[in-house]
Amino acid sequence: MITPVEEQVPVLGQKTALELMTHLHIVLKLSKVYEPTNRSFVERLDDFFASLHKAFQTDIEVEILIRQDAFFVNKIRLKFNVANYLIYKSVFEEFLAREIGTMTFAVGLDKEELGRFLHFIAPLDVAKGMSFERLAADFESAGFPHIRLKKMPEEVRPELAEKSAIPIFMMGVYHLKDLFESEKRSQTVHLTRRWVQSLINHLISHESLLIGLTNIKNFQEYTLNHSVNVCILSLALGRRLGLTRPELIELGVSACLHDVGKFEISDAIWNKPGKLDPDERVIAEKHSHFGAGKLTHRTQTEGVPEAAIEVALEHHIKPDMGGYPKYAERRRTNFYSRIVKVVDYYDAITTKRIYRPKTFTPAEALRLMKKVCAEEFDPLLFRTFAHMMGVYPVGTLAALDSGEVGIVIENNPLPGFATRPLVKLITDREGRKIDGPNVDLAETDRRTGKYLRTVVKTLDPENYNIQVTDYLIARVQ
Amino acid sequence: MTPTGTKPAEQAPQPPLQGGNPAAGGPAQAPDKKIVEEVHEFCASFVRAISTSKLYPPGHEAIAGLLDGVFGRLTAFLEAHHELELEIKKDAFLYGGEIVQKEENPPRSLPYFFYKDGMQKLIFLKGLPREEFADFLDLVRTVSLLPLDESDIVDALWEKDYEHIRYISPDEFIEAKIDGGQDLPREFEIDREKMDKGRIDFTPEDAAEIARRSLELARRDTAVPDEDEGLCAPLTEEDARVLEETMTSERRETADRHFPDLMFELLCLEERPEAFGHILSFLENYIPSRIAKAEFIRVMKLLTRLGELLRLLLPVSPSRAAALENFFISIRDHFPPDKIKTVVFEKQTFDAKAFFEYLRFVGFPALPLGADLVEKIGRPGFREEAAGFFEEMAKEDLRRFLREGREDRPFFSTAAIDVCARKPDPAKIPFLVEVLGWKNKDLKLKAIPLLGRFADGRARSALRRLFQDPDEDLRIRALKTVPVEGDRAVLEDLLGLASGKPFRAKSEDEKEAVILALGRSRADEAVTVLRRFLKKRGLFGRSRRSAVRFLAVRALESTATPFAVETLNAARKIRPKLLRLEVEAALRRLSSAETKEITS
Repeated sequence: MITPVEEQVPVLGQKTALELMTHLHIVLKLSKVYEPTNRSFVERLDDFFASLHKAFQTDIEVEILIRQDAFFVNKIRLKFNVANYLIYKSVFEEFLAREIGTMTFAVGLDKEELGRFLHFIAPLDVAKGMSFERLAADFESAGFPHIRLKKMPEEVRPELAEKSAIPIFMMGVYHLKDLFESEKRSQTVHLTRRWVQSLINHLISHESLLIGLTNIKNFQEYTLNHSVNVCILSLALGRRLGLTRPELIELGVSACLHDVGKFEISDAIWNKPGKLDPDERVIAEKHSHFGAGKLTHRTQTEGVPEAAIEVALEHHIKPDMGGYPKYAERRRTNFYSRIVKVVDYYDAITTKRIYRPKTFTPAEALRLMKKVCAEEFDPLLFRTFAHMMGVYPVGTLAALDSGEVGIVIENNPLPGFATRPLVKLITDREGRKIDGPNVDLAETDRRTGKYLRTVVKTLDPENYNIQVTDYLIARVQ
Repeated sequence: MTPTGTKPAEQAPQPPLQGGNPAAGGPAQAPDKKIVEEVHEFCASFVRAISTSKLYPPGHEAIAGLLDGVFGRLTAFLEAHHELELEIKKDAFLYGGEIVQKEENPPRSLPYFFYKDGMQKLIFLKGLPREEFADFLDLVRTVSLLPLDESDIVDALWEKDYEHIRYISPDEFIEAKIDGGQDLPREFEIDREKMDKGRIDFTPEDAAEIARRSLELARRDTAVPDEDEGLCAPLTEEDARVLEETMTSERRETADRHFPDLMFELLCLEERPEAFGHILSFLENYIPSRIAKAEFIRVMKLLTRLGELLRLLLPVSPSRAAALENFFISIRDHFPPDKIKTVVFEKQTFDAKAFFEYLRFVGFPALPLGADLVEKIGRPGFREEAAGFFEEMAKEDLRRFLREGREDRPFFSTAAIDVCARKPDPAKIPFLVEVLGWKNKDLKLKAIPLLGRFADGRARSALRRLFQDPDEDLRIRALKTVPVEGDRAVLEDLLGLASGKPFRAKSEDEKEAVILALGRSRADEAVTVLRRFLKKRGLFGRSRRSAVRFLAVRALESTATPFAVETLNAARKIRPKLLRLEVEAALRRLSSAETKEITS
């Protein structure tokens, strides 16, 4: 109800809202690893409290609301870009993990209640069997008079999103078969757009899972699977860079089609075991401009974005315009092409191929790419990609100092915690295979302050007959 | 502008926890009948607004009225209930399980329009601003105007990403559309037994490495290999700034420049004749499609780049060069003047420079269009560009250019006359003569002096006809312009004009023109008439006669023949004094001119 005399005062702006979210993100993370009396935690709690207090000058409460893929702070929708993407993602996942749809802080809140609340909520996780209803009961008894929580709407519950990620992936591989064949119905590209939109929706809530699924190689047929992987990784990177929705669609569709030219070249070339001779190499390298040529017509008849022509043509061109094909005059490649170049390289070298003597693990791939970065990639795009994938990308098989072996299922985005991902244990300390729990390598011994587990070496799953994707899929199937 | 809002009054304390979210999924129990009725009224007005808005162009005031009505209902509902969630069925909208809008003809109905694209729920949230709702209505209107099999409202809504309008559209919809989607396995086959049974025993190399690093970890509390240090360091603020700048600059890079460069490179690379031809045939359709959108900048950039490509290919790849030449011929041959006229009038903001570059490329087939359009489009820059285009066409083929001059093309005709002013060329005469037959006086006045430059019978005849023109300005201009010396016919005309009552009835300016024209003739008969004018005296009309006498002196001086000089000499003692002085001055000038002539 509006009071008769309305005082026009400045409301919470985008900048203040973002500051608030940043502080919330930090204290949520720290409350999982530090005691309430820990100095770092206390300092960050002070910051968060101060930002809430600032917001209370203009509003009697601060409401943080998730609506599908968007965050609202007191009705202001937060916009994110490459600089603050991680904060957005992290808080989003924290809310998802607890099925919280709205978190409200009211005037009268003090630091004690706030600190208590953060430590109350820190260990709770739907994945650990916590339901919102149980949380509600414990919340009531714990007593937080100035804080309210509302359950997340049904349609964005985490397990539903996770479950549907698998069919989405498979759908993509089946669908790309249609897409690659030209003279197809004009609806095909249209369907691709819808599929890419769905992928992006899933990336919003389950980026790690989808990136983990790109460890699936050679499902159905290499080029199709590879194109789906390149699409997923391109979108994840593009989203992180802050591309708009229309731009993400362009990028996604272009990434799907980047290797369409390969179908113009005999399988004998692609399936040849061993190195290609110079003539064969020349033929193979033509797939770029063959693909681009094929796509020109489709921009008119089917709505394929013009950028797809460029990506198909340029995804093997280096920053110094080396690589192939050789341009007559152009001195720069398209931004999407540079994105696809990075992810295409990564997916290719982590895929077993008959002609490649060595397949790299995800961690090895990143190390190699770092070595050749200056020559091969746009440096900032590579660094953003590497940061996204983490020192130990999802799907990395890791030996821990505890003697256990685990598979990385999620990265830790906090600065300084890049080597402390979330890991699913697949053996015990004696090496026996188990269906082990998920452990956070950032977890410390509360008594000694030392980390409970640390990665000491990444392993090649081939050497141990391990299908890492089985473990990633088993989590959600 | 700093956003402002209201500081709300203190609210009653809310319960600390709300397990359900009544606003998100509709009320748990059947909704109140009154609320259902409100929703029904909103839906009815929503449907009405969409169907009516399709009858009007965007921005029409009728649409604003509709918007106010439907938005008012929606806002009132959202104020009271925070959220409005509609369930979408093939032929109906539902609220809380109750039908609030049912349509008899589903394929044409609004519920079906949403339903066919997989939407299951449409949700409006409290705080929805008018602009966002107006944009949403416009989006629905625009998409619904497309053929059903081309429209996709879910796709459109996804891109828009409205803050206060959400929807639910599950992935199963897409699955059903994929070929073989119904047979799509829902799960990957995984060997669970293999996952949980057995052991992992490290290879000797791995075991050794693990042992070494574990020791290192114990010693310095980190096992991160040196090569991984900094591998995944987050971006600095400077990095983020550079990336933002890169993306901003990429966004500014227009497709107008991008695409032509891309086609250039692609065609350079494509050596296969058939594939090269396919790309060209794509471009043959592409260019008209861009023209239909008035994207002349892109079209011209493309044609320019392809022209450059042709020059590159001529020495090295004759077959591709030939294909490219045929392409250019085809583009010119399929020039669509009517379509261009339509699109130019629809899209007022197209680039005039690029437009005329395109017309230049097409050449003379485009000239009539250019000539027509320049009469109708008067915006700044357009006519300047048109003038440049006309110049070039005139240089290329003057006759063909002048043929487009018509009375109903005054701007073009003016430009054509200006072209004629530059160099004397008999080819210009027919056009200039034709102009004299038009009604447009300004054009005639421009054309007359130009015709006067030609010693050509057609020009002279045309000018002579003007001596009898009803318009005095035209008569005077013709008299001043017409070459007289040596032309008997003109002289006869002038002698006739200079005699009797008709001459007396003329204005001073016209008399002057006649008298000076007689002077230009240098004929003895003209001098005789001039002598008569010089001698004229009488009681009445003194000032008029005086002016004529002075003019006669001027004319005799310009004649400068011995007879004229003799006549002036005979008038040395003429009265009044001023006239006499004028005669003497004229004689002095003539004498001095003669001396100069002798000495030079």
